[in-house]
Amino acid sequence: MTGIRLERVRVARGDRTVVADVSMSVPQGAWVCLIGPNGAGKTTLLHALAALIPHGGAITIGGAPLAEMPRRERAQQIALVQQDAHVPTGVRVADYVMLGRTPYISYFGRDGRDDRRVVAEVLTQLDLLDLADRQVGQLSGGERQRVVVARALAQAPSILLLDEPTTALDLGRQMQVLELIREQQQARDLTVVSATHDLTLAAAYADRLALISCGALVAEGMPHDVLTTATLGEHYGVPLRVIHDPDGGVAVIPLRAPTPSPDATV
Amino acid sequence: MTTVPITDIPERAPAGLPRVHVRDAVLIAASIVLLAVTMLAGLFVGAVNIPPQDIVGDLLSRIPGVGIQSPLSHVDQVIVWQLRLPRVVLGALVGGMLALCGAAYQGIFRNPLADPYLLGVAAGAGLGATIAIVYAISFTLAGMGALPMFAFAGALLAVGLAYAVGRSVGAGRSATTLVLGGVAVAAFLTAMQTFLQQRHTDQLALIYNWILGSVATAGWSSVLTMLPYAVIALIVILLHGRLLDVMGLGDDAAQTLGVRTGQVRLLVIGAVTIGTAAAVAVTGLIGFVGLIVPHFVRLLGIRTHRTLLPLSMLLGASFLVLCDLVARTVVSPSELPIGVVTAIIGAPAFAMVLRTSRVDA
Amino acid sequence: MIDRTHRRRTALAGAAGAGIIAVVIALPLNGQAAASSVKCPQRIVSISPTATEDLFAIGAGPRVVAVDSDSNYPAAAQRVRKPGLVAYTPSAEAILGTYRPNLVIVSYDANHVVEGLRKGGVRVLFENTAANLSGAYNQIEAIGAATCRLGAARAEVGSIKRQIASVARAARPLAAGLTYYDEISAPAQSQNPYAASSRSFIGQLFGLLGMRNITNDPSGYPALSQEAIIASNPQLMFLSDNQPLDGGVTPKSVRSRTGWSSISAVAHNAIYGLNDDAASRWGPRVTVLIRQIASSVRTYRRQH
Repeated sequence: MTGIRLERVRVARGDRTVVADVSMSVPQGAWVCLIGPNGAGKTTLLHALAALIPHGGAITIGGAPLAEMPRRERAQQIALVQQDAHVPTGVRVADYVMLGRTPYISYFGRDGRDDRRVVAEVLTQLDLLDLADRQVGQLSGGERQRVVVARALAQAPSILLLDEPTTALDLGRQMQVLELIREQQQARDLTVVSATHDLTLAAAYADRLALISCGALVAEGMPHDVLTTATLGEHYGVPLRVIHDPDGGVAVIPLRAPTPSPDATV
Repeated sequence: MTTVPITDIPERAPAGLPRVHVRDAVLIAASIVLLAVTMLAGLFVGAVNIPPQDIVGDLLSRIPGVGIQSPLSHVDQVIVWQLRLPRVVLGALVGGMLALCGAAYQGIFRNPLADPYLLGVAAGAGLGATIAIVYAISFTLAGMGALPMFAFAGALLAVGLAYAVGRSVGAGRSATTLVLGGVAVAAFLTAMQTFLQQRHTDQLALIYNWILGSVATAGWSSVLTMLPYAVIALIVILLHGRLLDVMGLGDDAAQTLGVRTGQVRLLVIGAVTIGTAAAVAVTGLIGFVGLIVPHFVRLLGIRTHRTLLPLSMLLGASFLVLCDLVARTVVSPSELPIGVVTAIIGAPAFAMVLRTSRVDA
Repeated sequence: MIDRTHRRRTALAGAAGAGIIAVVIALPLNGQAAASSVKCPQRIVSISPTATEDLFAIGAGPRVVAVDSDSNYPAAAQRVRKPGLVAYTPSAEAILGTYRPNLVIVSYDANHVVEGLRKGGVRVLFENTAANLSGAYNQIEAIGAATCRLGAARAEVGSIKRQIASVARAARPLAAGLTYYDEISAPAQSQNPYAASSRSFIGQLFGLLGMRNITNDPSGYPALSQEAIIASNPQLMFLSDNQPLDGGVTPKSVRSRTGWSSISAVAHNAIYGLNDDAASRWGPRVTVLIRQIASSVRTYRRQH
């Protein structure tokens, strides 16, 4: 059981409260996407989930408090893909992905046969086997993002945290990466928590959305419930319109200042 | 661009990736051979012309049971075994230690400009040496002179101070605050050193001689003084090879992988400090080796610290032995300061390799 | 648990290194250097210009086989002067192998040269800068003792003492009370010059004539601010480093310094040069120095 429960979670940076009293639960195997304006606290919340920063309140993973989890166990359960993952130049793809096996290797130890098998599997599943010997710095943006996700998956986590996994990628590559994560999520029964700016893609891939604004959780639920014109308009503070596609998709359309147009309808 | 197909998990995982990069193993073996060759050259060549075959003959004559007479005069024997050999061994030890520590610091601080003297070691050792020369030149404790002792203590103190200053900033023990603490401490200690130098200009030549560095030695005392610290540092640093790769991902990422970044940094810094302080205490400040040799190894395409560290160490040892050979023969019967030779040989060699290699972004 | 391969590899490296060192040390390579049993050394090397002057002054010159590049006095020393032999960067191996000496005199222990030479069975005299005249006399006698020229050394010391005493006796009435400033180097136009204070070796010579230095700094060679020099207004000025060819200071360049023309010594043209080499050594030519000082005082008195 690796569902995540947040109970009145507070995170402060210095004397500023960045996340205030967030309570929600993420069922095991679900994909929850955090959305919200810049500075709302999405990244901070993800970092708290990754135990990078201390939190007030309680975060439990499968019933066990996150704060009391031993370091190694935590690293074997939770993997984080950062927004601007720093990839050392010149490192080979295979070596980079192998770094994801760190939680399973003893302090002075070396990778073992199991580790190498896992890395080979991950590279195959993410279609990176051909690139295994290439240097990460020489890859395209999309390939590099796959490699970073591969490293996280090599940790064999039960929870995958993603901070803006598709920024700076074009639509095609964005969907590629998200399809990949979706597929891995289903294959490995991962619980995924991601943060993104792209509301439309969030709605397309996540099971549930959580709208964070000014550090508080202001809306949570299925995408078409959270993404309403009223809710978004209020928290993003700009005129917009939400359209629900008959197939279940949701699109958010920004409204610019009205210009004389024969088609103008509101 | 093809979209990622939704495939099944392969039923049988493909065979594991190869364990050791063959190229890495070959390079390490080759560098061991190179070190042996360089050290032999250092033994056979020197300011005085002693035929190598006579040296071999002398060695054979010392093995109990072999009945040949040594072809070397007594003075030549002293030259070879008590002057050249300890010097060559010391050069290898110091060169290896400096290059290893430079590679470790470049990894732990994720900064290509890092060298072993980063956290104030040079300034601290320099101040210690200056104090010893000016105030305590004839002080000895347990047979060891003031100079190496004070230099060693100064180096350790400087790093301790840098650590304290970095921590007091409060932003956690991040790499950057440590480096900045080191800058502040180094500046302060250098100022004190300059002040002392200026008040005692008659000792200036001695102080500068030490600062320029030299592996000249007689007998084994310098080697034995340095050896225990060097061995400890060497073992700790080499064992951290994999962790240095993980630290290269950044503190946050390393922590999510379960690494205690503060502790790892402390251990590596501690080991580097001890090894560098010991080297500096007996040979003064030899520059360039710690900074450039690891880059040279990187230019050969080695990036993982598991190979980078030992290879840097071996090549650094060969490099310094070679530079010392040049330093003590080209202007014989005088000697060039070794820092000059390391720069004159090292810089153009590095530039050449830089130009001919494919440098990745 | 430490990974086995790592442990193995590290252990191998450590063992190899330790093994080599152990073999090297175990083999009888560190035999006791044959104690130099040569009582009267026939092959002497000096890498100290002062010691060179001492050696030649006491009659040990014929047995000197090499002197360093700075040993330029006396003329007889020039014959064995080796331009490649530099006191600051000596090589024990080169000295042992090239000159096969029985005695080496140094004033400066660089590159572990003293220990290296002693290991080679050579007697080494480490005679560093003398702090005062009696130190200089002791060095001459020590060199005499080491070269079987003790009698000559004592005679030389006696002669130096007598000369100094007689010069001082004659010059004191003229010199006593005069203030002076002895400049040993001026790094650049407007930077602070270095002076020899009353506590330096040469300062003590001035002291024998009763002259008063503008500074009594205990370090012997303080850097003085130009203000302080101008304010103290010395009556005489001496230049210890005054050869223009090697960057020395000339009376002309002193006069051109801003504000210095107000100094009594500069205004009255009382700027005197000393023998560069003698002024930086502590050998037999201290007599030359004190004669130069006395003669400068006499010139000064004649003109003022």
